Amino acid sequence: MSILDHVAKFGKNVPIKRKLLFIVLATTNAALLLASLAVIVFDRQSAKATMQQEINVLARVIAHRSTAALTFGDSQLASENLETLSEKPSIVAACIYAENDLLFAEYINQSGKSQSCNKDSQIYQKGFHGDYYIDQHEIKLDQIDIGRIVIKASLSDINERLLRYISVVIVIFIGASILAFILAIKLQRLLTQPIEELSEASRAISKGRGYAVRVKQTTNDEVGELVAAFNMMLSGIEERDAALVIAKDNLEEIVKERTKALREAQSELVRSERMATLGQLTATVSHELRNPLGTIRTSVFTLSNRIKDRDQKLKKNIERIERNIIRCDNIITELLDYSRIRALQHEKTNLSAWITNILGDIKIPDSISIKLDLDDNIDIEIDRDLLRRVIINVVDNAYQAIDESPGEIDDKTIIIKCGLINSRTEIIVIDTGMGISDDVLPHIFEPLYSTKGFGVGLGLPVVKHIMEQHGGGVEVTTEKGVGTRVVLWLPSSLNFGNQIAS
Amino acid sequence: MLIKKHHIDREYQSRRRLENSSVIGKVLLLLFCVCFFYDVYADAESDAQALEYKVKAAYLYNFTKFIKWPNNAFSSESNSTLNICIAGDDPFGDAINLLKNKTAKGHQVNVIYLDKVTSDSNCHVLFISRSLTNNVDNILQEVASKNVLTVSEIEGFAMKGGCIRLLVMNGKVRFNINIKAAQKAELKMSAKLLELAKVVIE
Repeated sequence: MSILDHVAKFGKNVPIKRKLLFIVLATTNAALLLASLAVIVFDRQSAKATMQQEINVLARVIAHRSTAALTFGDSQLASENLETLSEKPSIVAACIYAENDLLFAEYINQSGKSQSCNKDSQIYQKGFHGDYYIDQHEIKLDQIDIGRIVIKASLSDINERLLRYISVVIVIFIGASILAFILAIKLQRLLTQPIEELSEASRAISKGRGYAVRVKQTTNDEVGELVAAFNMMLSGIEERDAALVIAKDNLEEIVKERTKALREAQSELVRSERMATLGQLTATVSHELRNPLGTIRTSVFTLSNRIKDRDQKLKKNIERIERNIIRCDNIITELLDYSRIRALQHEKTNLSAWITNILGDIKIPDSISIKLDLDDNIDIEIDRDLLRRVIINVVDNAYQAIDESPGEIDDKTIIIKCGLINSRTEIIVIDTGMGISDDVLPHIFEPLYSTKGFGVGLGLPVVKHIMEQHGGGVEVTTEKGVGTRVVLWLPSSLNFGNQIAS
Repeated sequence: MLIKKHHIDREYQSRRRLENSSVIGKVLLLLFCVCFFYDVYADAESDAQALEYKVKAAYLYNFTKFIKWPNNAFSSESNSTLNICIAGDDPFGDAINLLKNKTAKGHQVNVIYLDKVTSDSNCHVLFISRSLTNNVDNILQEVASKNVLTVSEIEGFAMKGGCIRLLVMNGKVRFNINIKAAQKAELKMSAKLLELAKVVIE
């Protein structure tokens, strides 16, 4: 693992601000350190070289000046010559040796009493020895060596210079670091502020404050692009959110509709089940009733034949019996009709001919006029048996509405129409009867609901059931005292041939 | 090397008897003996005088190194010599032998003994012995127009117009210099030499 990896690991949880600061300081200090080291090393080398050169020049000068002194054995003069080196405090000792390394003259710096030109009775070799530099130079007269000069110089000046340099470098280091620190703090905002705003915005969003926040884009660099992308992303999320809300609302409506449909279907199921049970019951009961009723009818018939016109009073009673037997029979028929609900058996039928035929079977008093307005061109597939029941029930209701209305009705008319209206086949029965009251109207299709003095209240429920079986329906509109209009409609899908065109 | 040591010991002993000087001075004298005499001095006398003259002989030679003669002082011949003349009684004896075989200023050193100094004497260095004390003025007169470095032990020699007077101080051989005399002889003396002189007469 390299140092950089370590740094990266260390910086995992450090905010970007401090990372940036660290980078700036590390870079600055590293560069400064390198530069300072280079300067120090270079300076030290050049100082050493300069010193070497200086000492060498001095050695040459003294050597040259001391030739006569050495030749004529004047060590005092030689010492005086060496004494001139006291001008240079870094020189701690200097010696002139005659041939065979015999000490001829010596100079010791006042501050370096314990100095000497030799160490362990060996004269120093030329070069650097620890804290000292030793220079040696031959003393020549007419190309003949007559001795040599040895100068010992302390490096303390250079070392002090090094220490001074190091302390200056430290001061510069501290100063530069402080400056870099301040500058970095001031300038890093350029970089970190948008990033901080970004992270603040995302934090706000994650706390659930919605996607309406936007970060202000101040630059066009990579961070600026990031901010723009972030804002765009927020807009995208917002749009999608809105779409989701709409979808959610729609879903609720759909669910509501479906639930309603389901509920209807369920109640329809319950109703039809009830019908089925009722059907079975009525079938059994009607059947069981019809036989005794037949016997009663036969007996009454025999009885009335016997009596003939002998007893008028009795005859009236018998007639009442007969009337009630018929009523009972009607009720039983009604019940049986209802119980006889079954799968449709479609037959191709011409609607107008078929309706006319049915009307012929219905006994309607002469006081009620019937007006027909039938479209002859409708051929349709229907279960004739069942739909016949529907027509009979509706027309029966119509004439009863007229017949049983309180007070005189001037216009006693039943209008029967059939035709293609609104792309469906309609059979319309209009009467001029008393109409249906508002409190009754909602219940007219409920089984066993009847306002008539007789009947079991299965007429209209049967009508509705059969129409729905055909895929059609019943629509009733009424006005109190004016009349009732019943529309029996069948879907056009039951039509066949090209008659639809008309 | 053995021979050298032998010399040193002998010289050292003789020196002690000769002078009552500092150890350094003795050492230095010893040193110079070693420097200049070791190869020729085979049979040294134990006489202190002998040592003194050995040193003085060496001085005669060494002076040439710090003095510049005018170009015409030497003949143009390739084998021209630098003549060191000894006038009067020879105080050097064998000590002078160390000068023979040496070269100075690129010339072979030639030692010439003179009974009488004339203007014809071809000398570059003229040592005037004590024996000629009374004739000094004449001799100086004779060589006045010549480029001759006059050296002598005679008291007041420099004052009288001689170039260098040799003397012994604190057991060391020292000298006085008369610059004017040297200048008259058209000799240029090195400042280093003047530094060493005890007295400089201008």
